[in-house]
Amino acid sequence: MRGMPSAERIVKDIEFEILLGAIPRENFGDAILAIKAHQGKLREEVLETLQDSRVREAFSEVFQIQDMLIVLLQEMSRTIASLQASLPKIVNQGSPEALRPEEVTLTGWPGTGDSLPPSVEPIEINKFLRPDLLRLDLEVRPSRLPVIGKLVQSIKIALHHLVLFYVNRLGSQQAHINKMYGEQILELFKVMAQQQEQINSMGALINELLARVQPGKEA
Amino acid sequence: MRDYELAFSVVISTLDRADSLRVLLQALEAQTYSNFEVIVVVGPARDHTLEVLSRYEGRVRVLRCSHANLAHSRNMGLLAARGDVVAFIDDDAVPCRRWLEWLANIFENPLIDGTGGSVYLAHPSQPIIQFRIGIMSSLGEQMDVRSSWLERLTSPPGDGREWFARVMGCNMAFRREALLEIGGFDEFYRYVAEEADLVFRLVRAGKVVFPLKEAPVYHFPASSQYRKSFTNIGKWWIQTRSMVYFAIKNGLEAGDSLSSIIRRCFHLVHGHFLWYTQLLTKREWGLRQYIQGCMGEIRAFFSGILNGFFIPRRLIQPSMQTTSLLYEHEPILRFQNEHSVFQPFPDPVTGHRPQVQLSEPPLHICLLSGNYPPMHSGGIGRYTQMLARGLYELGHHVHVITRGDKERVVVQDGVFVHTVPYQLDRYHQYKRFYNACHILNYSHAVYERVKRLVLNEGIEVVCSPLWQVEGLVTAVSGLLPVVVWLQTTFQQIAELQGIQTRDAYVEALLEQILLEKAAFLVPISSAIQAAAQGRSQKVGSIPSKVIPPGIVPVPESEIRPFDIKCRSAPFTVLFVGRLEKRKGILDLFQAIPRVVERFPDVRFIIAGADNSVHDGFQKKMGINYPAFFMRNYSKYASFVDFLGEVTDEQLQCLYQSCDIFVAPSLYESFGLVYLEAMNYAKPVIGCRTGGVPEVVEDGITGVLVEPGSPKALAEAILSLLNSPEKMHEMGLAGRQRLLKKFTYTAMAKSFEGVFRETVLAFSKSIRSVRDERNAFC
Repeated sequence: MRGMPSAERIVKDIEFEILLGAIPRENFGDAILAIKAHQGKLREEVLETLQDSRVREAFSEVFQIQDMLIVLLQEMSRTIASLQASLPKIVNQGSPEALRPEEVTLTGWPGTGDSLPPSVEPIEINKFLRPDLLRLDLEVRPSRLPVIGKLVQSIKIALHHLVLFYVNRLGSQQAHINKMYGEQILELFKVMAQQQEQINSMGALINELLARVQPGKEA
Repeated sequence: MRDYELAFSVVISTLDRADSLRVLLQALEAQTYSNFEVIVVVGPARDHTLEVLSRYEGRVRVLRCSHANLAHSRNMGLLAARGDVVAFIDDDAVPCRRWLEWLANIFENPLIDGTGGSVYLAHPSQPIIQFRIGIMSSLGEQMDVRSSWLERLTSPPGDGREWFARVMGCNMAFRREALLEIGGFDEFYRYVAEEADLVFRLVRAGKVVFPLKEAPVYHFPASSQYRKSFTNIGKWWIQTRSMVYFAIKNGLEAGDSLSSIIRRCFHLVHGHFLWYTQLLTKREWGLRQYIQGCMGEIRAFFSGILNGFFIPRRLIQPSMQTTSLLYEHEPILRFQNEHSVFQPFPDPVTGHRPQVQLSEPPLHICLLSGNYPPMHSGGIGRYTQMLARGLYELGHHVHVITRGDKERVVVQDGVFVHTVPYQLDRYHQYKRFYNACHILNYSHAVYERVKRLVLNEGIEVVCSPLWQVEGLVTAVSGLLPVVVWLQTTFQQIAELQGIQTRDAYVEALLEQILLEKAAFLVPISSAIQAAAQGRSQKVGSIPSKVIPPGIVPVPESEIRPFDIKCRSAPFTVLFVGRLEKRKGILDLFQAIPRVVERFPDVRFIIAGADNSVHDGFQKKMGINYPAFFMRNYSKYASFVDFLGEVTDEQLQCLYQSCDIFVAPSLYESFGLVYLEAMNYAKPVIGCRTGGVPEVVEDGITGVLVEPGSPKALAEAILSLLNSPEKMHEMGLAGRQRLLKKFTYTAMAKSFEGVFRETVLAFSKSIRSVRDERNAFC
């Protein structure tokens, strides 16, 4: 029959699904699951419209490869999350106070080399937090009209003043918001720096623990 | 490979539950990990607990606890333990076979100090997953979560609470040193929350507790001094006492505000008051019981408050630990002996253990059946139930995987029945083929469950019916050998009923794949064997053996052979089966007028669901079978009763009360219905087709006619109606034939041989592959 799967195709598809299932399926992030659901829907639509069995097979292969990539992503996210969950407990053995969630926040694994991006420094942010940067000054070109030139000039100035008043008021509000953002970013930098220190100390502690464990195993 | 095998001490605290304890000890003999001792701490028992334990003298260490306090009892076990790890299990639970093996794997990680697995409530009256990974707050608010939630433990739900992973007291294990370091269990807890308190203190002491989703324990709640199982009767205030104390002690340690602690305490009591009031209004509780409950709550509340705020914890003192340390280097007293491996598994619900002497270790078998009694009672479901029961009685450990809306485990007649839900979340490319897509997804869900059963129970072989190819994915995976049980194939049915859809084509392909991937074929009749082997050369080369299905013979007192001397009119002719073309219902319709015309003292009873929609009759004729009969044979309507689908009990009554059984199927791979009628000593009429002649001996136990011949069918019915002696003799001969050839035990014995052969062949092939790989490396 036209467009019907063969026994080999079915076995291949089953083996592929088994392969997918070899990677745990339950602990994945919602976003990745949404992508997966979308991909499933898309695949259904595409395969439904395609008539040529060879093209359909090719598309099917592509979707399967994408499935595999999604599962790999899921697995990576799961591994990262589980490492984050288990690290504080492992590292803070002996200091129970530090186990409290609000006091321990981790952003990464020491081995991944997470650190402050070299191009962004707190000083750069400070530079842009000045409120005067958002302030506009009056800039009216003198009118060249004879007789009424002065009158036009003064009307222009009055109108410009009015506009500038509101723009600068908005600007000052924006500057205030920017300042708050900036402060938060600086705060985050501080936290990140602290975390980096924590991560380094954790790495050292883990190395120490591993060193302690290894000889025991050998013995 | 492990350099050093961890020693386990399994601590069981028990009080007046001798029968449950006996089952647990029998189940522990089946553990795959042998390096463990068993310590039973007996409370002030009044039943035959000590008598049960006396059978294990020299294998179990028995301690006596003078008062009923669970935490104290657990501490006694802990102090006496010599193993590296102390595992706790309730006396009314049964662990999975690889429970200790799982735990040993976890404790191989030196950073982990505690763990616990999931708990299934497996009693038939209440099958649910009781516990699978949960978290608990410092105030005792608890939440069962999936492992993905645990990953978010750094920002858990709850306003500023300290949350920690919890385990269930029924299934938990800890390093002995870690427990002693924190002083063991707090002995204020007589019952409930002692394990949560322990884990909280462990975590705060910097220990790592890593809960597991697997390593299940099956729980069969037995009554205790605090509650009567599966009822609302109990001293529920004991929970309030423990939880109020828990919230105060741990809330204060975690730095929770006093107001939130007090609020939580009131919340606990308030919840219980509301529940009691509900029980009173529903009249499940009397006024006296209600007052007693409320008074108990008030007492418990103040006891919790007083002890929580003003009395220090009651932990194991360092001075008491010295006794424990004295024995810590002594070897453990191993529980298992050389006979343990040959012991059959007990039925945890009834406590019954098959009385068989096994010369080889029992097999660990997984049977697949999409429908399984009592939820569904299709033919394959009933075959599977009989086989499962037979294998259990032969001493084997049997698991059945069936379809269900939720994941559950329930124990029926000693067999563990796992229900598996499924979703259409795989095989999207087959969505055009509706049935095939469902079949593939369910088969995959079954495979996932089989994988877990291999991990938890050490399943060795899977047996799948060909119908609906439930074992397809498992067979393709090569995880385990799959024995395929052949009944009528879909291809045969499609041919008989003229189904030629794209879906049917794919379904037939799936069947073909399963046949080719099978490790062994078990056709239910020679006719089926011939049909299967003729499908392809590859299928013909797979080893096969015909094993006819068997049923449970009813007691002699229940059989009703035709009574020649004293019979009541009219004669009853019974038909049982789906109303569809294949079952020969149209032939019967045509035969009825011929019979009635010549023998009016007769009634036809037709039991079975109408299947006119699926076999295309409805589409062709515009009406269903009963309506068709009423329209075309209205003159004979008073002679026929259409009962529709009937329950098992009704069916047994129908078999018992009929005089002749008739099932003129155009094709039957075997025909369980004939056996069921023969069970009650009834003469049967069938067609000379498929496996029917292997069941019915023409002229001896019944009459066989050519398929699709209403005239011959009518003549056969009339010949029996006119000869009561023949009816009587044929019925009894049928019963004798059943007892000789078609009992469920005979079927199970034949299957046992097939399974052993398959397991052996599979392990040999695995070994040879491994050797090849090693040689290559």
